[in-house]
Amino acid sequence: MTVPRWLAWLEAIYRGLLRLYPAAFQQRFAGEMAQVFSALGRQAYAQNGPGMALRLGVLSLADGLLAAARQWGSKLFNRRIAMESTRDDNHGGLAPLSTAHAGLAVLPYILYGLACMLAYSWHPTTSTLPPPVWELFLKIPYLWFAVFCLAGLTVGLANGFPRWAQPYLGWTLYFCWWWSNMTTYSYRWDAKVWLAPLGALLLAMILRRSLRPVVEVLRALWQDWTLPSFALFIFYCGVSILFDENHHPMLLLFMAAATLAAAAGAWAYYRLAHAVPRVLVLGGMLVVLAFLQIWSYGTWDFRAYYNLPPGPQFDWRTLWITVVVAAVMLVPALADWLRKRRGIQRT
Amino acid sequence: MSSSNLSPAALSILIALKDGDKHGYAILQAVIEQPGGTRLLPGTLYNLLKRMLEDGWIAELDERPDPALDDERRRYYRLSGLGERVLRQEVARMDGLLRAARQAGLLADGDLP
Repeated sequence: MTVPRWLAWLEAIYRGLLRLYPAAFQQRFAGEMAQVFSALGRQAYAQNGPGMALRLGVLSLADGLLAAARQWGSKLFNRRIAMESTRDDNHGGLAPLSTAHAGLAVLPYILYGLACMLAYSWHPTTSTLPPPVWELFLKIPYLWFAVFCLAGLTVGLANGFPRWAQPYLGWTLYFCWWWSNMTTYSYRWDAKVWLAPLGALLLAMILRRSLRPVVEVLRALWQDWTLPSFALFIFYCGVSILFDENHHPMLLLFMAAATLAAAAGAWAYYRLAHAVPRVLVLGGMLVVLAFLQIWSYGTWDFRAYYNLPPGPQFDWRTLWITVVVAAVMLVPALADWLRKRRGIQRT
Repeated sequence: MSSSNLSPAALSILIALKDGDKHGYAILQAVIEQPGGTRLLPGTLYNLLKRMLEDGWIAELDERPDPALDDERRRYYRLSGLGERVLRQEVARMDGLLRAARQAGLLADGDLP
């Protein structure tokens, strides 16, 4: 069978990952594991096509990373690898969302990307400066996006705050943070934008005649400690997809690619059950988004565009910010994992 | 011998080996073919195999069925007597639970398992 190049790369990455295991484990099992990984990927490719082979490959990489961490934990803390039922076996962390609900959760990412692309290429004029607010709502695509998120948030809060509604809350908060410092067509938005999510919460409470919407948001945060990581991911996506001050000739393509990467990260987050892989996927997408940023600045002479003195084209700032954000993002997932470990030890 | 409940992954591996000696990849295939079987991935599989070897539940075979036809990196594993006792104990425990569930009306007599 001819093996596609990307599959051979995945096998090479897996062989590299095996070097992360403790030396004794590597010596005993690494050859066998590489052979099993290779057979698994090639059989999936031959029988189910490239999609399944890629999926299995990525899942095996994540599984391999976790297994390596467990081996080190076992070696350093003299703890044995668990063969007993754990809480995760019983309720699998969180049940993955259905395709339809995951699609609903991903929608704000796609719409934000579209709003950014439209706002970059369309610059309508207004009747007066500043124009009446209703005219701003007709002519600024970002505001259409904000209204959509707010509507999704209100529906979610009025219906028990299901998990698909979480991105709507995250994007609404990101938008309010961003637009509270924004002036458009000489119109200053200020802190009054924060009234919008408060209004959504109030409306949901009135509709349900109860304080439950507030309780449900707090309970969601308590049940899933990876939500702060997800909020950070939304914030990073918001800044990345915007490509602010960037005028690369191919900017729309970069925006589209960043939108797809962000949406793929959110999709995987809601389709995976366990905390650590979910956050690792978000971290992976952060790297993709950073790569797109660095690539766009590396292939466009922003110094000439802004009349800046000559200097390096490499965007070190994005790289360092990404490293810090990725590290911070892992903290809640690790805390969640530790919390579950303690729960297992108590039972 | 562990008195705790075995995880589904560990139990599936022991059941796969009860059916005959196998190498790692064959264990993965056997587990996914079990009724209600889940997909095990190599990292989890070898973490559990290592622990089972340490506990003496399984043993590595010295001989290979047909070395000429086989990948030399493959190793074969066999369920030990101790491993079989653990497996039987666990299955008996689960059988007892199923009978209790049936008495409680959670399973009809004709229902699987």
